[in-house]
Formats: sequence, C-alpha cells, structure tokens
Amino acid sequence: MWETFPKMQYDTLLRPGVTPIEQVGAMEAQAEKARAAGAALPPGFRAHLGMLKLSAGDVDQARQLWQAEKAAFPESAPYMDQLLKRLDAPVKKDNPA
Amino acid sequence: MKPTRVALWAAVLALSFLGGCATKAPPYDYAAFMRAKPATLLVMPPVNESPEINATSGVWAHATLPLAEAGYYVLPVTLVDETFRQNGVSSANDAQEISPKKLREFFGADAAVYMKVKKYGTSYAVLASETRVEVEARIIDLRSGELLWQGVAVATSAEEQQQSQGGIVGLLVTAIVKQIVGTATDASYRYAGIANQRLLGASRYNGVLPGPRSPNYGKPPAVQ
Repeated sequence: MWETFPKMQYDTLLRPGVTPIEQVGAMEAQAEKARAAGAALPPGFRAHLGMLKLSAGDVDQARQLWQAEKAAFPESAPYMDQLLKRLDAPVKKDNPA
Repeated sequence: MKPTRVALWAAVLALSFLGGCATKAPPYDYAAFMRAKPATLLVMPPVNESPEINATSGVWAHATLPLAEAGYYVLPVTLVDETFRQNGVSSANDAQEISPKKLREFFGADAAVYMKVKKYGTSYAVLASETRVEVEARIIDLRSGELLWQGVAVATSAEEQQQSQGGIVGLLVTAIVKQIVGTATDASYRYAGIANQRLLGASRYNGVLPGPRSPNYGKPPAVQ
C-alpha cells in the first residue's frame, strides 16, 4: 500500500535539513489503514516514520520503528543496525565512524 | 566540409535512423546480473544534468516503487540522504564517487543504482510546450564492482498531446497555458514517475530482472 509515500519522500528530499514532522499524522493513518486491510506497508515506510519521530525527539518510537523495518524486511538489517547503534550511543558528529 | 560529404553523411544518418526504428535492440546480456543475484538495492542520489533543481529529488523519490514492485528491498532514500549529509556528502556527484566497498560496508546493500537525469522540465516551444524527463541508470554490484545492468528511459507530455483545434492562435495559447500549468503543478514530477517505471520496472524487454521478492524471480527475462 504505497498511497502518497513516494510524494512524502519527494517532499522530504526537496528540503534538506528540514524534517517534515507534519507527515506523521498522514503516515500513522496510512499504517492504520494498512493494518485494517491486512495490506503490506512499502519498504522504507517504517524507517522514514522513525526518522520523523526522531526529529520530534521521540527516540523510543524511532528505535521501535527501525526495529519494525528490520522485522518486516530483514534485508534492511545492516543499515538499520548502523542507525540503531548511533541512536543508542551518545551523539558524536565529529566522529561518524 | 564539401556539400557532397554533407549529403553523404545525411544519407548515412537517415539510413541508420531508419534501421534503428525497424529492428529491436539486441537482448541484454544478463549473465553478470544472474550470477550476482542482488536482493538489496541502494539507490544513489541521481546526478542532475538538467537545469531544473528539483530533478534529483523527483527522480530519486520515484525510484523505490518500481524496484520494490520488481522484488527488491530498496533502502529508504530519505534516510540515505540524511546519512550522506551527516557525513559531509552533500551532492549527488560526490556521493556517486564513493567506492562500492565503502557503500557496502555502511549500507549493507548488494548493489547500488546509479542514475543520471539527462532532461527534466517543461520547455516552451512556439507551438507546443513539452514536459520531458529522460533518465539513465546503471546497477553496480557493491561486492565485486561489476556492472550488472544499464538502461535508459524517456517520458514526455508529447505522447498524450491531442491535435489541438482552433488554428495557430489556439495552438499558441495552448502551448503557453500548458507551460504555466506544467511548471506550477510540478508536471515533471509526474513524468519522472512514468520514466522511472519504464526504466526500473521489472519484466520489461531488456529491463531490470525480477528480484527475490517477486513471484517471477529466477524466470527467464522478458522477450518483448
């Protein structure tokens, strides 16, 4: 169930450095709709929502959503693990490795 | 250049053009693609060769759907963008310069999709303005650095333009209106979606092979 997800990604890419928190409502509504219909969410949907949650300061929700991305798409594990590792470690921007 | 030579070249070009129309492109050699069996794709930020600044975002945002429907896991482009940015990589050109080995280490993808936007936008011509998106892509195995596949695709508003009524003035007005509407509603974004579907959708002649999540995975490539 893609719906407006590509457009949301587009709007996000258009404004580098600005996280569109306003997408959260629409995304949660789409997730609810997919759940009710038994439809699958597209790859990256949970990861993108997690990023929005993190920008809003909700680290726990971000962690949950990135783990959910991993559970739904095991192929995402190496990248999600990299992100989760940074989430749990104190942020050191001058030392990305 | 002597006129005779010009005429000769014109004839040669005309012949090769006609030849190009009459025969189908030879079938793509999928040997490397079939050997590599990629499952996870990292779509790199597309390099933009058009004057339109939104082109990279428009083409990038439309790449996930066709590849995912083709049976691949596609890493989330907005997070990939953020990762590059946080590591000081802010242009598509810089990102595409990063070695396959490094990309593989960080993102864990099997292969990366390198795209180039050749044309993107609405141009005003006297009788018909046209919204046109031209994209090309290469899929490179991040484990071996080997080229697995490449292709090009075009989508243009000219495909669906009807013969307009109302003579020359009508045509001119239509052209201007189309350009204004085309720009205001970001028509290029829509055509980028069509171009990407043609470029990256599976089961197209000489197109991307179906991935592990597709019911057609492992079947022979489309023959037409």
